[in-house]
Amino acid sequence: MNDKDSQAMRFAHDIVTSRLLILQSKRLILRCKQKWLDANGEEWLRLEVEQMCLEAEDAQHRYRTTMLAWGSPEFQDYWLIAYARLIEMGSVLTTRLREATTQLPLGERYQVSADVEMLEDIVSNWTESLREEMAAAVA
Amino acid sequence: MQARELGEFPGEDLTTSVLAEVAGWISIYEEMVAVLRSVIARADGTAEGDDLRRQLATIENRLASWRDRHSELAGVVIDRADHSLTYGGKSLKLTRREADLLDFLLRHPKRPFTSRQLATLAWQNSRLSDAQVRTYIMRLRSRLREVGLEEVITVARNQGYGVTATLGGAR
Repeated sequence: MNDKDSQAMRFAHDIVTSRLLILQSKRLILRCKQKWLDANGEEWLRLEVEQMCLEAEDAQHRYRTTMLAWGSPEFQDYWLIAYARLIEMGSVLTTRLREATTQLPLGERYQVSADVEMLEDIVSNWTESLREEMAAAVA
Repeated sequence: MQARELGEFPGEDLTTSVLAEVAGWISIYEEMVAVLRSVIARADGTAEGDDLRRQLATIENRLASWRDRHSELAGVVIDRADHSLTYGGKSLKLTRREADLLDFLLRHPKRPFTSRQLATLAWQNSRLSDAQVRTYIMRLRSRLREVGLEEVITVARNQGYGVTATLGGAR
């Protein structure tokens, strides 16, 4: 790896890490507020917890997007995020295709069913890979 | 009242919704292909890379079939050999560039492309200026009016040019 590559790698690492830190901060704040809410049960705290939930979800989405755009297999969470995103898209597509089969003309149904089967097979491969990555991460 | 009843005849609405639905599948397929390509580019040389490359080929193959199907459903037939277009029983002779541009846009529905992207992706010519692409688009839109497809190419401010999913206005 030359200087330029290692500089780019550091740059990517900084971007991904900053997103991860934002995500962790949001989750930490959410957990604290949740504890206060459990202890006090005040309405204004419930609203703050709901707001913080949304912010944490948004931070997670940004972290995943950044990882896919800037990360690489050298990053710890890369494969987990890559497979999770692919599974998510594959599942949405499979569901939409399956829903559509009932409305389609007969000629189209066979083609769509073949696509659903093909996608389910690929998604199950990705799910298996994700499980393996998760097992490796906790080992 | 009568027009409303006619609009609900079996088949008519269905055709339009299927076309929109296929365009929706195409965009999810495209997004999945984009993520897979980017993952494969980074995973070169790893064990996962080979598996993903095989899956990408399968998904790209299906995407190409659905793009063809979308064009068929839209009722627009472009003959690439003589650059002619047939729609609703009418035929129109286009130039090679016009035919390539329309074919590309119809195979990538509901998605805007900038002038630069169109020059590279539809014509494989990155040297065409934005103004030249704009002129081609304007000329093509005016030609399409002859077969009742004037609304098919849409312009999205600051995003580019695309085609509607349904061709509903023209059908």
